[in-house]
Amino acid sequence: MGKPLKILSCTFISLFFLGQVLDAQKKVVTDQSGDGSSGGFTLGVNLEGPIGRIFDSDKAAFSAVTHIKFAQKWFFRGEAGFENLTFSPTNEQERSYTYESNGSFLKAGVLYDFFSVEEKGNNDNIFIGLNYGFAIQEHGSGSYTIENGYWGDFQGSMGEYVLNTHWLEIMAGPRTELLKNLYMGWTINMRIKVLQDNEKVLDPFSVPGFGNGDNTVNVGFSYVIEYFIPWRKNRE
Amino acid sequence: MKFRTCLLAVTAIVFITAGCENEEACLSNQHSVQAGFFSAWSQTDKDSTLNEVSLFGLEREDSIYTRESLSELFIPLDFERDTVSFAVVARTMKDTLRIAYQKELDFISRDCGYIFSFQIDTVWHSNAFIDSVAIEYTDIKYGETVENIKLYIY
Repeated sequence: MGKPLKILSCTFISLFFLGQVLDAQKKVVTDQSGDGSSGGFTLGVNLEGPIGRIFDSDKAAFSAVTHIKFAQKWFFRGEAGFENLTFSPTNEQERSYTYESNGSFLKAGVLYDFFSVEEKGNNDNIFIGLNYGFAIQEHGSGSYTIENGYWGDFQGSMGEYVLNTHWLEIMAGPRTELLKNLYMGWTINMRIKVLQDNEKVLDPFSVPGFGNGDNTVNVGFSYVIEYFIPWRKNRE
Repeated sequence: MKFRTCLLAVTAIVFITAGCENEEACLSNQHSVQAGFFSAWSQTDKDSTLNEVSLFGLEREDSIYTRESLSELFIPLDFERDTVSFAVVARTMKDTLRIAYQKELDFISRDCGYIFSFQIDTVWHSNAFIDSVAIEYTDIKYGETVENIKLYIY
């Protein structure tokens, strides 16, 4: 993808999110006629991994998500998943090293729903929240080459070893009830790495659940489809 | 609202995943000692240009520079050893330059991969036209363009 197109893409995204926020605010003002509260939890999947595989076939990722409402406007959010990554031959050639990583991650945190609506049966939300994330992964380079045009290239390898990463994640986005008890939502996430116990020089290409291993701050996107399982009946 | 959210969310995923990540430009030849020529006669450091300079490894037949006019040299280090020896030729005069160093493996980034960083320990030289050598900056690191040694010439 060319640089002008990338800039255009990012501009589009910025405008899109700005539009969504304004649209949501408008709804808050104009539609104040409902109550959508009921006890229970949701179980769903985050499609960030499967969709990402369309653009990066080296990576396979999947995660399950749950939301549990524990107070009037407050939700617990939990997520668990895995990510496996192996460089394709093209990627190895471009980067002069091979890379393999297998890992899992957990995220837990709280969300605040600031969508205020009095419409009966309307269970839509607009969340803002904070999560803690933890990933454990085993990674290594089966081989790498450091080029030297005069004395000759150096060939080496970095055996697989385990490292842990901890991060905080600020997230915001809407969720809507598509069908009875079936929810769809997306969030934009800012992930800030706080600790990584990496004992060797190799930085992870990708940290499961966090993203680009080079960065201290990553901006990501989650797209969740989930099913609500009530643990008590709604009061009609 | 729901349909629109759905549709735009999918579009956003496509653009975010494909659009917002830039690949890093990687630097090459980051394993050379940067050496400048200076006049040995001057009281203060004064850049000097040498004519018809050639540089080649002592055990090599191929040269890095061949009869060029230069004010600085980029002397490549060997990843497999901790000492390199070069012949520096200026017209009919020839000096030997030997550099001892330590190396350390580094990882630059996921796009640029591995490199070696170096630290210069000692520089020896003969005295055909090189008067003395001063080590100014011992480290050779990725992305740095600092002069490492000064070669004072007659």
